[in-house]
Amino acid sequence: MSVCEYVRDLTKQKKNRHGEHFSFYSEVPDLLQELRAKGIKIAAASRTQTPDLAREMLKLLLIETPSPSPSASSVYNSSSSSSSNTAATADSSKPTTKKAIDFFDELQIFPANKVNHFNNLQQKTKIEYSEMIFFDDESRNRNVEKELGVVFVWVRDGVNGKAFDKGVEAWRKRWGKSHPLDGQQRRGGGGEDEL
Amino acid sequence: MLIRTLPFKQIGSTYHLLRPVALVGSISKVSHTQHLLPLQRKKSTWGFNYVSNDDEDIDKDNKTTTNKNNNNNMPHKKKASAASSSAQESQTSATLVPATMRQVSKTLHDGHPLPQLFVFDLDYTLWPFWVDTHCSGGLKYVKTNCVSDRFVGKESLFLTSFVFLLSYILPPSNSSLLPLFGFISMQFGREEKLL
Repeated sequence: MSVCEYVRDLTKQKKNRHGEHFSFYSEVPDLLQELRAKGIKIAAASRTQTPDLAREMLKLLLIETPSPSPSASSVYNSSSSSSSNTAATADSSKPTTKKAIDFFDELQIFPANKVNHFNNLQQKTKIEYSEMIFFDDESRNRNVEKELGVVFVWVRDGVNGKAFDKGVEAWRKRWGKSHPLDGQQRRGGGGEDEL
Repeated sequence: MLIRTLPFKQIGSTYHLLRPVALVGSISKVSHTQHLLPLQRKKSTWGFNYVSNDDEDIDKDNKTTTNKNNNNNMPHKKKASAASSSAQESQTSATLVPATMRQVSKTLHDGHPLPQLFVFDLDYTLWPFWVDTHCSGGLKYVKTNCVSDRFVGKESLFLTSFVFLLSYILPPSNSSLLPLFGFISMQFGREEKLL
């Protein structure tokens, strides 16, 4: 009987089968690393129904980072003889991995209006709304731009280098001449030498 | 501009050319798209690939056989320019690039002001799925930047629905046992889910 065969097959199924595979968009790990290297703060704001699952995902997704060995750091500063550089690359050729959740300074993951997420972010980080930029795929979350003044970047196919640059340029254009914090010292500008 | 990259990282049977990222010294004169150009590769004794994006230099490099001495690898043009001004000397020196970092964004490195806080949504912004609907939980680490969820027996779900449908279609006298089969198959499906 066909049903019995089905049931028999079910019992034979391998127990440690994988489900679907999940990973970041291809350029996201690089962007997170670059932001970290620049010392810029990163936050996540999501209105997902399953915050715990999202956190677990961020904990389990690993990102390759250059190894933080002292010889590897000397690579950045020295343009010395090639023999010392070979020694340094031998160390840095072994990449270490880091949990994706460690890249984020703040996590605001709960189902609510995004304005609430940003209120919390502002309270915790003490950073002005004008110094924030927000990447999202849902245009309904644009209300943070109208209500709070956070520059909203609508990404259609996930964050990549192009969308990122577009967003940063939109932020610069918006606050180009009359930025409220222009008098004060701002972080992130002119950081060419730091990596 | 002479750029020194790490040797090609072998992944499986294909060689992936790792794009250079960190440029030592002054970045200003290096074009940001330079690392995206197709690079000429050439093996040296040190395990480095000396890469030149200048067309003339590439032609020259192709004509000459592999130079074992690093100093001979420097094209004439660079020597002439280095002699003309000491300021350019630092730029002409070969720069070493870590393998695991790629420069994805241009705006992060052009020295103009940047926002202090980058906020990202998660679903369809950082990763290409909805974590609350696509992901069944029971996450497992697979490899770097890859996580799997638990396997949900699709066969058993199909069987369950099929048997329950039959129980509605067939007359009651024939289908008295069918809900039982359906229940049994549902249990199998549940077992798969719990694993």
